[in-house]
Amino acid sequence: MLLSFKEGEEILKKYQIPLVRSFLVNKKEELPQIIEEIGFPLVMKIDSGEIFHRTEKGGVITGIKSEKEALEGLERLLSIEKVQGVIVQKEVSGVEIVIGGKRDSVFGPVVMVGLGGILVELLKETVFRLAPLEEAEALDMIEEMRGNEILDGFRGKERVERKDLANLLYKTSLLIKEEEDIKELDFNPVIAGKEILVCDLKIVK
Amino acid sequence: MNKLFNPQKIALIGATDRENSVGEGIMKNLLQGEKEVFPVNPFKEEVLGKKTYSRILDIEEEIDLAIIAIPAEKVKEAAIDCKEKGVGAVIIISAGFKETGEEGKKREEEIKEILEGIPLLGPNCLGVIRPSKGLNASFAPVSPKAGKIALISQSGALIDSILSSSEEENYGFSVVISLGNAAGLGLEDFIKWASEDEETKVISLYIEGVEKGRDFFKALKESKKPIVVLKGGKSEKGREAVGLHTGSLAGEGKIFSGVLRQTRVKEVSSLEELFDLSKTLAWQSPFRGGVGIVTNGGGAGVLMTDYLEGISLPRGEFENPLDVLGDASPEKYREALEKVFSEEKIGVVTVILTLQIITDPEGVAREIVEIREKYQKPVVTVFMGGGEKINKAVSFLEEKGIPNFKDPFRAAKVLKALNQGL
Repeated sequence: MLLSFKEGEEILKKYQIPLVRSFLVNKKEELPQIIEEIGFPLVMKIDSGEIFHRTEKGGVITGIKSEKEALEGLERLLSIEKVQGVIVQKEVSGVEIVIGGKRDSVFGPVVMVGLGGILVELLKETVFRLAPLEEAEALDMIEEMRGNEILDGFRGKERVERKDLANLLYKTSLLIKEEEDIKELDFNPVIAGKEILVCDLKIVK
Repeated sequence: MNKLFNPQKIALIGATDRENSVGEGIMKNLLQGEKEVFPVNPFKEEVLGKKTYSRILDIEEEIDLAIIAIPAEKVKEAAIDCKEKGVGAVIIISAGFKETGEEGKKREEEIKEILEGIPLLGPNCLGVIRPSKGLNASFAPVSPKAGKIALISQSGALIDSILSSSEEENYGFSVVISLGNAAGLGLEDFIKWASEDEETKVISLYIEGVEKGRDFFKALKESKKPIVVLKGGKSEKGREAVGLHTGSLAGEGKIFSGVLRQTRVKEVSSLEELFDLSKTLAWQSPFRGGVGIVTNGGGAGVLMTDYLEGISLPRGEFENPLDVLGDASPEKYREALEKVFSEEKIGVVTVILTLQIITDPEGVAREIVEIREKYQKPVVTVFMGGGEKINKAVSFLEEKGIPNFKDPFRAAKVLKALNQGL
């Protein structure tokens, strides 16, 4: 069973895993105040316990820069079948990373990290460890990730603190270890700039 | 497990002198050692000069180890006898159990229950070899020499080929264990045992799959000896995917490799690499510091430098690689070795030798052995090519615990694996 965004948010809070500022919206009257609070650009995506791949349903809109665009977007997203609400988030930039966890039938809870974006599935450049992690193990995981040099600031990209990313991996490893009814989870993308923020999450129980 | 690895009195159920049979192979291997062997076979009076017994219960003496090599349907009966006899350990060589399907699986469960409490190896395995104790309780066609490598393998046939190449490559074993179906003792138990074993300096594993992932993880993590692993069956097909990225990316090999790295175990990708590394770890220690290269061939030095990319090649009062040129005599090598070994930043030395018209490989080998004694730094050699002169020198080096690789690529891989930073 795929958890709703709200349920997922609760679990993240419990493990102090930082989520990008997000609001769940059902009516367009709620939008202006949110815009006032977080400003542009915005991202909107559908919330549904049944749709695994949002982009395939046209359920994600990025780079929203005006209230008009936002209102039109909201209306369209709410009209998609099986959609329970729309998540409105501040659009952040940085290095895209994917973090995951699952319960393996042989090894039990495992945690995963890889460089993100759509290339993750093509390149399969992901690194696994058994959960929970020790700090040094989390750092070594990042070290093993091919292309990890991008974290040190590449072509003007912001430098990412490795120990902060390691800390996030550590917390994720605790989560998958402790929450025994979770089968699998994806934080994709996690965007790492000055802060490292989970921008989307899917948790399957 | 002492009864398994160092038994004094051994019964072989299924002993026979029928040529090229498993029962004959084990019998012959057992008789090579100095153990007392009691063949059990109700249809024969005598096997290879030894009086036979029709059941293990007919033997008066106590039995430390019973080896069962009879058709699968009859194993249950033999197991009941072993239990009643109170043997110290059991090896079941016979196939026809879990690996064959439901019926075999049931048979295996039954036997496991009967032998509860007795150390059990197998079924469906090649057996066990402990060269230093004169024990070859297997049907391997070769008896390997004693050494410091503990080989534990899920494939019996691979063991055969490894043992035959070990002769040429000059390495030996503290123990060779063929796991088979691991109905009793499993991979984790043997890793733990080898980690405590005084003869073992390195544990080499060939693994296709693990069942108790966390026990395996713990055994690796707690091992007091370095471990090298070759994993077979690493196809990247995902399993139990529930529709998310993580599941589809979690191929068996990915998680397995992660576990190895997490426990600081070396993973290799070929049999050659498994033993290049095991042999080196059996004889030498991992090192800190840079690599010093001494060579009498420019090209070989260049290749080695390429292969060692990412590893420090410090210089002192010398170039690195230090080319002693094609006409180098043992004395010339000695002079160069002295410079490189004495340099503090150098943690390990690799000596390359290509056979040229006036080269004296044995003379150079002797200089290497002497200088290593003096400085106590690890050294690996690359005496390239073959022929009598090279082979003699290589045998001399390897007798002294200096591993030789005929290709700088193989030596570089080993050096990279053993490098623990500066």
